[in-house]
Amino acid sequence: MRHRCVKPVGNRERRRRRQEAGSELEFKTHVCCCVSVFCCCRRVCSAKMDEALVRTRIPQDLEKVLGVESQTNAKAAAFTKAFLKKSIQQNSRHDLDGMLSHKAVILGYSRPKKDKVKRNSKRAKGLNARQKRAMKVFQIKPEHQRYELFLPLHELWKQYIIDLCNGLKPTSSPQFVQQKLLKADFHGAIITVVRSKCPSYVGTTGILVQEFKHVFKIITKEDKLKVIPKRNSVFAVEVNGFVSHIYGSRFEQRASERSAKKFKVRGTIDL
Amino acid sequence: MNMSVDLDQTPRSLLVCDWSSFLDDKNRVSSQVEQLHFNYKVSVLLPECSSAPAHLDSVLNSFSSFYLIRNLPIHELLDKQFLETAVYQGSVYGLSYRTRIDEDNCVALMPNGRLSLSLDKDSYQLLGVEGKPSRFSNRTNSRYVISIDLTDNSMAPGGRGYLRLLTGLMSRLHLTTDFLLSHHPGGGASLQPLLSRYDWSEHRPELHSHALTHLSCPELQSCDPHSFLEWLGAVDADISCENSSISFLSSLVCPEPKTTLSRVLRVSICGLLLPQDVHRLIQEIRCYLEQPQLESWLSLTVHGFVDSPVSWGGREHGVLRGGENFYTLLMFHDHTYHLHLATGAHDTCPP
Amino acid sequence: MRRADKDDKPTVYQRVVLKNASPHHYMKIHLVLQDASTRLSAVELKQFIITGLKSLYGEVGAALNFDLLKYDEDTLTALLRVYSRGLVKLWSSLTLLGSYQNQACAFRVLQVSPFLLSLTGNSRDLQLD
Repeated sequence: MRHRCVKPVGNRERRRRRQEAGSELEFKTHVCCCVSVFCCCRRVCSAKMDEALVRTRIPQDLEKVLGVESQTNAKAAAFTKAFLKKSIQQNSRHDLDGMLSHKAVILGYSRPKKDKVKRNSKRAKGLNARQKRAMKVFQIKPEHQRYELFLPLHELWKQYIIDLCNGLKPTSSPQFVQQKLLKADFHGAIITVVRSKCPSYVGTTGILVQEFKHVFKIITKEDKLKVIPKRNSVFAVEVNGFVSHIYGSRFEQRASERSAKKFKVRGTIDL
Repeated sequence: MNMSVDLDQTPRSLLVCDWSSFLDDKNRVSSQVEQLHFNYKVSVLLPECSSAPAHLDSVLNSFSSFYLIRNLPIHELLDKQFLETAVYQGSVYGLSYRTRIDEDNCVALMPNGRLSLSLDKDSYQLLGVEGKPSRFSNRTNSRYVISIDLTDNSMAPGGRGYLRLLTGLMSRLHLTTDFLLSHHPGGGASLQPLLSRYDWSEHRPELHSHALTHLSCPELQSCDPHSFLEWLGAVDADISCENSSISFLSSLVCPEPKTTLSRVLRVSICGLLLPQDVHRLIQEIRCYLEQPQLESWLSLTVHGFVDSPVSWGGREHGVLRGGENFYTLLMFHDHTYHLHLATGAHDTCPP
Repeated sequence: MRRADKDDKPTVYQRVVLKNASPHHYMKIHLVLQDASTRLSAVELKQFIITGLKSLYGEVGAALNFDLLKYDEDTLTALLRVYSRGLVKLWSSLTLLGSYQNQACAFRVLQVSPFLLSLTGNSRDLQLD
């Protein structure tokens, strides 16, 4: 099989003649290339030949046929060197002189960044709001929406409130209980809507399962999960005979933030 | 000056004047009379009479009696037995007594089975039944009206609407008022089960008659409505119309041209009066006018309740300066009549 | 004074709706005095009200024509009639009238209406006890 490194540009007739010449020498006829084609031939030549044969001048009659002109040895060597230099990539790695004489100049100075001390790298990062919504963490599945399941929570809450108010005796002062309740958590309390600007909310009773910034989610005895907005409603919470009324419009904070909030004293509140 | 323009303004009042004849098919007197459910006072002016004619007297005396229940809890009006015996058969007229429409909660039970509650804001927010803000409230809604049709399917005993209202009235808002009650045609018998449970008393409408002499009277056919009503009011209130123009105290005079009546009889009857009785009275008066007599006219004035939540046909009624809703029927011997219907500021146009 | 809605048919039927057309307004008032046994005559009462008008609205205000239609000396209740334009002036001067002959007094306005007839049929007078 004849190997070709470059697609022949030359004359087909020439090639045919070359083939007729019977030589197994294969060379590419580059437009700018001169007669000394021995390098390519070297790479591509499949024929086995001596080096001497390569360096000889092309015979006169072959010159006429090929239409090329042989050059002197010196010129050919120079050309070859130049051609090689142009075509072969200079690998700087081999430029040892340059490397030894190379002087590095520091233009700027910066300390390499230390890796931040990972505080609590073992702590769970937590989810942001989008992830929470996607994972539906705060949604209660329908099979869990049963009133009986939340009654133990209510008992727990009652105990918590009684402990918080140092035992809810009939003699405790309402102000003290009020102060404590303002900062208390109401999850698990049984709340009733006593007054509301919207009449259909009035009378709904249930255990508070989730408290958000603007709504209460309660579960009623009929196992219905109701969402009641806090605004414009008054809720009643009863513990051991102490009935407190919560004015929802003033209660619109997250349960966690409410413990830090100071409430102003107001005379009367109108819905 | 701008200030004087504002000082000139008075609350709106409406006067509707109908001139027609009883013989005209399109006359609407009977419907206009029927639609004013709660009548307080009927006063009749009989010219050239010293004593009431027998027929009129008998009709006046046969006005239905009414009942006053003290401290009736309003949820009793939703009692199943009461609904079946009284509300569904015949017509019940009920109105809360001594409740002011601009201050307290008022209740009215109309003959077509509609219960109308006019509540202030706190009571409405406590009760929890859907209602509408009053048409006559200013920017801040301080009055709410709940109107319920007791004959509707959802309000049948056991229905959802019925239970909601019942629990509201029993547990959330304990609405208790004195209540005036009357029933047509059954009278006290159909109301007995309800009455027996509470402190009740029966009352007959009060009848007063007064004879006046030498009264100047305007020319009725051509008199303009306001002057006529003023003259009629003066007669009703015993105000003298004989004032000389230089009098210091009063310059009220009878509208010109005028005649003099030697005697006039004024009869009035007060209480919770039924429109059916008023209708009967009008028919009786028409018969009386057909007889030939000296004077050929007769005037009848019917006043509605000032504190009733409803006026003609269930329309909302309120009190701004005075809650007048009355009508005056001036009847002539040739079956023509002049009907004047008057309302105050917090009222819609009479029918 | 406006006339709205005039329905004129070939038969005798006619309907007119008059809105704010009443020329006069009528007031039922009651005078409460510190010393309950004091009595005023009709003329004295009218003069007293005129002084009230004068103190609030001056001479021009005092020239406002109003009529004392009926006066009951025992109960000190009176019926007044005034032109509709002057109702606010009369009412405000009654409100601000505070003393009669060095004793405190107050006018209670019981009813105000553009129709004299409605002053006689006020259901708030219904007494069933």
